[in-house]
Amino acid sequence: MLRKLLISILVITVLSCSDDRLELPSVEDRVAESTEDLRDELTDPQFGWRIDYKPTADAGTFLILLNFDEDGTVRIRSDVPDDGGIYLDQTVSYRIDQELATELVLETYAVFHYLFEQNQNSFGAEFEFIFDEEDDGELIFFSKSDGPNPTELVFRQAGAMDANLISTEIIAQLGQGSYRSEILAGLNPTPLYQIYLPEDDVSVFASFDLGNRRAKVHGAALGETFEELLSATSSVSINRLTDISFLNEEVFFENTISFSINGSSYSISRFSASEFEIQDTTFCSGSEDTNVLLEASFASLGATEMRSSVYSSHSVFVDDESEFYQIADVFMYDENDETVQPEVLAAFPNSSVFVLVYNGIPRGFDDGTFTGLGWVGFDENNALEFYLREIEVTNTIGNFLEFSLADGTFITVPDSLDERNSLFALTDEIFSGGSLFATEVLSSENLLEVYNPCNGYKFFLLE
Amino acid sequence: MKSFFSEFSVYLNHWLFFGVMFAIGGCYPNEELNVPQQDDEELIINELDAYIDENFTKRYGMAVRYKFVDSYLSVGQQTTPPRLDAVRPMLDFIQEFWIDPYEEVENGAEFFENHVPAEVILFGGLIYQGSTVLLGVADAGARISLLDVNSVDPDNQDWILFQLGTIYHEFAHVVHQRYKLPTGYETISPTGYTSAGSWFVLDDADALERGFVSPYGTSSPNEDYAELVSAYLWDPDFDANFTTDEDDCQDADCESRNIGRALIREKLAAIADHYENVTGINFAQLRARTQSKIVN
Repeated sequence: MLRKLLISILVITVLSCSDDRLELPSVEDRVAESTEDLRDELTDPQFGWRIDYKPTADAGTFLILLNFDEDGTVRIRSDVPDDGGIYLDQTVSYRIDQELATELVLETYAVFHYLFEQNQNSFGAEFEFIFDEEDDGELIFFSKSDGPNPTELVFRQAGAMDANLISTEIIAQLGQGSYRSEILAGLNPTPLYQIYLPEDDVSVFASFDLGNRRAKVHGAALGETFEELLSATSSVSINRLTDISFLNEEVFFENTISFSINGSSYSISRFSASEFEIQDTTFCSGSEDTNVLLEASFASLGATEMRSSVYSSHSVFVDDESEFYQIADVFMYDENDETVQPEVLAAFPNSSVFVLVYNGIPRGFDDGTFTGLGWVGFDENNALEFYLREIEVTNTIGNFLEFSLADGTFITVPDSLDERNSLFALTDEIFSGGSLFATEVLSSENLLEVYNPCNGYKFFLLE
Repeated sequence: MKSFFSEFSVYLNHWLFFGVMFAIGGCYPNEELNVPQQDDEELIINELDAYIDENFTKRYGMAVRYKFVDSYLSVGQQTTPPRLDAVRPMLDFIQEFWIDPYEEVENGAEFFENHVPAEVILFGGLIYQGSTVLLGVADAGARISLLDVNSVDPDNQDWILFQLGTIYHEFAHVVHQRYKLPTGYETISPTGYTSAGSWFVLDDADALERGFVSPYGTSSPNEDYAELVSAYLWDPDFDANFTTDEDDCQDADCESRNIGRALIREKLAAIADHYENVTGINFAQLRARTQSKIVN
């Protein structure tokens, strides 16, 4: 009985193996078939594929259209206007690989690679995609480079009019509202805008991180001019961050932002701009500057004027009883965006960090609190050296700090006349005019970018 | 009232590290390019492949790869492929600054053709590894990877010297992997080498005093050799920086630097003899041809 059973099992096993060999194609054939299947899917739609691309949970959405060709090239159109517009319309080569799964690789540099490189390759974008499945006409991919929680990319068949949805103007126009156009310290500019509602005489302040596609609405106040806003009788802090996207030259807020001021309620969800103008203005008495003027239409607010600004009524800067800010001195820049570090090191060779102290108590400072700014470093024995100059603060409101440079110092090296003279020369240069405006860096918590409109100098500060 | 500065040393050290990372981030190229037409780009891809095949693969047996393959990178490394319009200028750069100097010296063409790596991989961006940036990679003489190709600019001497430093460093490894180091090379500055993974605590002055052209050179005799060969070929100020003694030394640091320079001179003489013996190339002539490209 046992012998019969063993023979039966052996026969069944042999037959089943034999059947498998007959029915299953070779590995090479299956790989080729899988590759061709995906290539057919990719090249099939008449108008290509559309991705509403959100590279990370901490970024907004980029609109990207892909048209794959059987010759191994793919046309990529996007709404990223950076680097002279080269990412708006490119054709690069692609490859379908078979490793552990079927993969789509964009082989030469395009908008996906540009986004991948942001923040020293740590932004979270990708250009290698693992194919997961076709689902009701959509192709589902996952990032190959993301690690444990990969981004899901959904390729939807593009419509005939989707190419018209790509915004080419408003992103660049908004970007021109910043006092700097280049990336500094790996950080995108964060243009700040005053949205003025003329019928209600209300100004709303919002900043935009166009690289990360995010916006923050800081607050609102009654009034239009800087002087009116400084003495506004009514203001409200909003302090809401939202992801944004751009479609057909319109800005969409992923989360509607609502607030009330002076008895009226408002909400911001989307806007477009009909007119764009760069005009002369003054942010510091005696210094010429420019700002952007947009005639904007908000879905629920109607027609408004958006003006790029340096002032925000509710951005956080020296708003506490005492504050301490610092930054490595390499991240201080002159009006041409060149670092001032060589000048600082020439004056203080041991300097490493710039600090701004507001009502603080430096160690070894016996004369009450200290408000001032300057540099700190280590001497040869690894002991701290301070070169700080006192300031007299005359106004702090919103993101604005007004002060005058005083004669008091906190310098911890002996025989410090040379250091004192250097400190006065440096601070006179960098902080001339005594006006600073700070903008939150939306991609980095507690990091501010500070601008001196009197001379064009700017620097970052970490609270 | 807050009392600041008590933890300031910690802050400061944090920022020294963060500062390096940020400074690197500030180096993204400022590109001003026209929007290319897609038909042109398809043509470029085909022409590029044909150009590489004709001028590098068939001529030298050197395949130049510019299309991204992630297996060219080690686990944990991430970077991007080059821009299409950066590839041809990079090929021209390789020809003019790497290949031509060898072809212009006696025995150089033969040496180059017999020793050129089978693959040169082009990457558009940089590879970030913690607080450091990887400049290039060589794989047992068979493959050299070049980074930051997207910044290609034949008028930018800093970029040229950066790339040549990588190319000559990695190509120097091919020589010692094939022919070993010059006899007794490791014994010229034996106490100057650093323990594993600690070279980066030195600065340039420390390295010079130990008889090395860079801190990285102190990490092993092979890296010392590659750094010295590379610096000799690419650095326009090599003599002033590394071999010419300072006159009238008034302090111990100056004397230490001159002692280091003497060690470098000794190593350089050993390398020149060895190079001529195993390759038939006069090392000084090779430097002269290289420098003629750089300093025009």
